[in-house]
Amino acid sequence: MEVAAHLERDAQLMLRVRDGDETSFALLLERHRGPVIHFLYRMVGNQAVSEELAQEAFFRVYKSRASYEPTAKFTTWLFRIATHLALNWIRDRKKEKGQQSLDEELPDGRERQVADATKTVEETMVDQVRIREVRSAIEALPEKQRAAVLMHKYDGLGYAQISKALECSDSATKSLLFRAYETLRVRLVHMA
Amino acid sequence: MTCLRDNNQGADLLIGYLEGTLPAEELRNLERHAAECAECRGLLAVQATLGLDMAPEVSANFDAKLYARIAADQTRRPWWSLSWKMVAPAVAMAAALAVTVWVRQPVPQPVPQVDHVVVAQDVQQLEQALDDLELLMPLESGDSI
Repeated sequence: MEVAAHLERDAQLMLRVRDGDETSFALLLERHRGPVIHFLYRMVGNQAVSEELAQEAFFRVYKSRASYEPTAKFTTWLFRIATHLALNWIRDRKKEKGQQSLDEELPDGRERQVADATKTVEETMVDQVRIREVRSAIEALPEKQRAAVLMHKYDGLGYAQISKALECSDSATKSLLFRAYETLRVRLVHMA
Repeated sequence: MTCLRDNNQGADLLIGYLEGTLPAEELRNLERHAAECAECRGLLAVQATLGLDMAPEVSANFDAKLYARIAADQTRRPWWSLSWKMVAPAVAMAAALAVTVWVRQPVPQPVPQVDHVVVAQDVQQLEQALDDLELLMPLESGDSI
């Protein structure tokens, strides 16, 4: 119920943005900035790029405020924009350089996570290795499967929302998700 | 034993588990099955494994950069995208200026009509003069013979 209330409030906020209320845009940004950047970060594997794409996503939301109609949930619309941006970036990058491994992007700041003060250096290093494995497994998924599993697992979007964000049917989304989780199970079986 | 992964209903159950939306009864059935099925157990464990990955912190200047971009975009908006409220003062000024110029303009004088009869008479006179010149030509040549 709480989630539904939040979604409804998002649409109301966006309608206020449409009417020129800048404060409502700031509230939407505050609420969704983190999830969108994290989604994009896991999609593209690069912090700087994920923030650039998130900037573009929120900029597009703001620019299209005048024509906004609450026909879909705000988060669905937002994640559809973010997904398009991520998929386009991935395709452009593939054309330019070919896909690079996740590890090559590490100097970019992806290690800016807060270290757990209760862990030893060794434990922290083991964690980092495990995290890299998880990220590598996610990055190796086909793009749409990756987007589906990220929205599902990390951003809490349901089937219907993911289907709309990816512009495919519910059954196709289920299939994407199941194949993605099955692939991850095989790749990460040693970590279970 | 039939694995849940082999049928659609089972796939729904497993994804429901990963989503955390399974009713208690179905959750118990799934856990009972997973206790005996290594593949399904592995799939359920993916949930915890993926949870290891924490997202990085967002840059402190993210919002400032976004608002700067929005502001920059608004300053170079084309005139047709401007709202009526923004355009109205400029339109009012232009209208006032146009009215002032129009009021101060001198009353235009009527343009004199061209008299076609006069023009025709002039042409006639010119033709007559040419004819007279032609008449004189043989006399001049006769003089030379």
